[in-house]
Amino acid sequence: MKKILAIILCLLVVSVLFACGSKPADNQGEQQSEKLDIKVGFICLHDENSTYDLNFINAAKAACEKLGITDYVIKTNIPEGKECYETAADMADSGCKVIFADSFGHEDFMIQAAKEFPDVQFCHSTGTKAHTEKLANYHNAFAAIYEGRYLAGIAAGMKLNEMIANGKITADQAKIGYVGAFTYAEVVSGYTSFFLGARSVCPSATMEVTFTGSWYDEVAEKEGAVKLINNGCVLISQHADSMGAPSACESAGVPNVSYNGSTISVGPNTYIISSRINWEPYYEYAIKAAAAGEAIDTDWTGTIATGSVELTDLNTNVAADGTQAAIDAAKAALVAGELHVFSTDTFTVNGEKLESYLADVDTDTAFTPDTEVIKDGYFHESEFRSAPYFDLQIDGITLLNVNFG
Amino acid sequence: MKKIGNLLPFEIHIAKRSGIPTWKAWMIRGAAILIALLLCAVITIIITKMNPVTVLESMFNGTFSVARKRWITLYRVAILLGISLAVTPAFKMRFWNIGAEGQVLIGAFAAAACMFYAGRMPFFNDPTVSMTVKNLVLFPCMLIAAIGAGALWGFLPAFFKSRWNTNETLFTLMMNYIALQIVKFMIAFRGFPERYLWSANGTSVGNINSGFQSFGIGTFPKFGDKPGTQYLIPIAAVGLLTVVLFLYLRFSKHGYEISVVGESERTASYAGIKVNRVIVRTMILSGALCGLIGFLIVGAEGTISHDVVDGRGYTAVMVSWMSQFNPIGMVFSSLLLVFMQFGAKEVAMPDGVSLDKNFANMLMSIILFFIIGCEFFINYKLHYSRHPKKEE
Repeated sequence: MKKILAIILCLLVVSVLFACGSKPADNQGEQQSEKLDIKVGFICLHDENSTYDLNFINAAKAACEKLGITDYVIKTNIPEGKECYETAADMADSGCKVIFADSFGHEDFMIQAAKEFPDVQFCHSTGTKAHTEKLANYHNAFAAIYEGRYLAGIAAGMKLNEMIANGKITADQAKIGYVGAFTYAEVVSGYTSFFLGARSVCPSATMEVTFTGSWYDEVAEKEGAVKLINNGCVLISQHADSMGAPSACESAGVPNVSYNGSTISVGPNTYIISSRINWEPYYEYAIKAAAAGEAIDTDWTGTIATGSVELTDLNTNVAADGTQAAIDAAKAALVAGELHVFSTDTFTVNGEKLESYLADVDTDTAFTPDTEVIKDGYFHESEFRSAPYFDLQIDGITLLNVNFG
Repeated sequence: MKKIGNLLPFEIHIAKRSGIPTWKAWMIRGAAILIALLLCAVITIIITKMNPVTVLESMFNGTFSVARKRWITLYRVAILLGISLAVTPAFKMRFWNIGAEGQVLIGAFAAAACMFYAGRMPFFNDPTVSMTVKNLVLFPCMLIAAIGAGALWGFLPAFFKSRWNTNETLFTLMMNYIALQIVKFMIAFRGFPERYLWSANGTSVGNINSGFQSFGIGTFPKFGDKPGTQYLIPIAAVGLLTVVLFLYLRFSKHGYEISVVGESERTASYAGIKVNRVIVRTMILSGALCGLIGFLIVGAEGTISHDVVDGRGYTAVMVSWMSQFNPIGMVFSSLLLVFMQFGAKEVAMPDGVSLDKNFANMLMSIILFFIIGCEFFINYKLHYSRHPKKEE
């Protein structure tokens, strides 16, 4: 018994010490001057260990810092279930005026909270229902990441051209491999725009796609990349959140175009460039609007011009000469509206040019096509809602499997 | 043992205690909880670098500050308590049922299935029929389906155990994975015709029937439209269950048979108790109660996912165990664990990111480790003695 008492006393002393030591840190927060007087909440599916959520968390912190907001809360590891609603409602209870959620499956629960708190703004990234729910305080956001993919595709095409010019491969061996997560429109739109970017500079390019069935599965992504390399793919890109594909490329010495940020740390000799969505401009926009009492767009689509679509860290050791110049030229054309990624002149479906296509823009369990999306000679991606809906299987791309989860 | 003995300046002997006064046993348990809480405090302080009083304050705020939170906290206590109660009869019988996770999940699955398919029937989409009537039809279906599914999940391992003496631990564990995969399959699968599909996107179902007119059927009503009152029904149901199970275990013939089988199967069969029958009957009861909890979860939350039980099926085993199978003790154990687990998630770090589930689970594990570990000191006594002179 004496021993136990001694342990308890020791622990008490330790805790008192910590209590004293931590006081100065508390005061520091209060001293900072507040520029924008609004409380903001962020709900994240996972934590910093996922590149996807890290991208959101960094953007949240950056936006709050820029706006001088000290009163914000970030909740991580909130599953796509009732806990999301409870967390959102709790944030609203505690005075948050804008609440963001980052994962697709959070949507229903954010809508539920939005209905209960009409005075609080609820902003959901990657969602699809805002334009059909028609709530004044519920909003969707995404970015025209297909434009970023297209530019990254140009870097890939330039690399293929260099390999052909060096005699490393013949023109008809220019096959790209792509490791996707699921066969959703978001991924289809991504790999198609990437492929169109590559083919715009390397006309003989073809592509094979494999799906892992998970947003984060390092082993499956690695195996997927190895399978594609064994199939004769000479360049790999991916749309999944682990380091699996980049590290497989590095060990096989195959060039890699990355996503969600630079992966040069695992692939110094193979990493070319990466595209990513920067959420900070959206957070800044939405928080400012809410603070000023202005309406937030029902569907907000970030673009290259808003700074939401970014290309990071061109690795000049691996990339072909002139890549930066080619990307800059295309970027300028995209911003100016002269170039359209999904121009119907650049792709065919079953050997035919598309004149008309009904896409599934309004969510329902049957995936009913409902909106005409081709006009003026191109597929209008991310215009009728912010989340992607390009789900066509174009010629030149072979799917090795499909995976809807 | 010898090596450690040589390192220390004294020798430790372990001896089984023949008996220990109740007050002393509770003293040891109390001390264990105290040390566990202090260790939790130290770890929290080291990680958050915050004042422990502030941390405790935010934990209280996070669980009890406003009405909504009080309801949610009570609801979480009720669910953990309910599952703990459900596993207790089997454990008291020394039947190592670690399948509560799956039994609750399959119960929730069955209840959710009723909601989904009812939501697509014309009757439930008829605006002239009142919500109350719809629910009065649907609730019994959900309840029966959930209890039936849970009971089946409990019956199978017990039946195999009594017939072929299979290992119940492995069997019940395996049944958890079957339940898990069934739920995952229904959420992700797209091969069915539309009216059988659960999810519009293959990753989560959202609020059940949210796209239909029948949205909201099968979920418990709010009282006076106050937030959180939809949890009143599950809380009341588990409260009732606590009393009933206490009486069942303490005063009924079944309860007596369970404790005799738990003490010694041989004694039980000499006394004329049909051991196999008691095992199967008790496991059906355990499974059915788990199914009932599954129904309460779906009714209160109006959604289902593969992690809707969230490991509470396993935590409940420990709650039951550390409360010595005493339903009243389980109330306090559940309250403590829920407070620690969900309170911790409300602690905001200086950089704005709150502590999360992983941290909360760490605190909970510390408490469980100490409380269950202290049973060693209740059952065994340590003697210390000086080293005898070195042999050389």
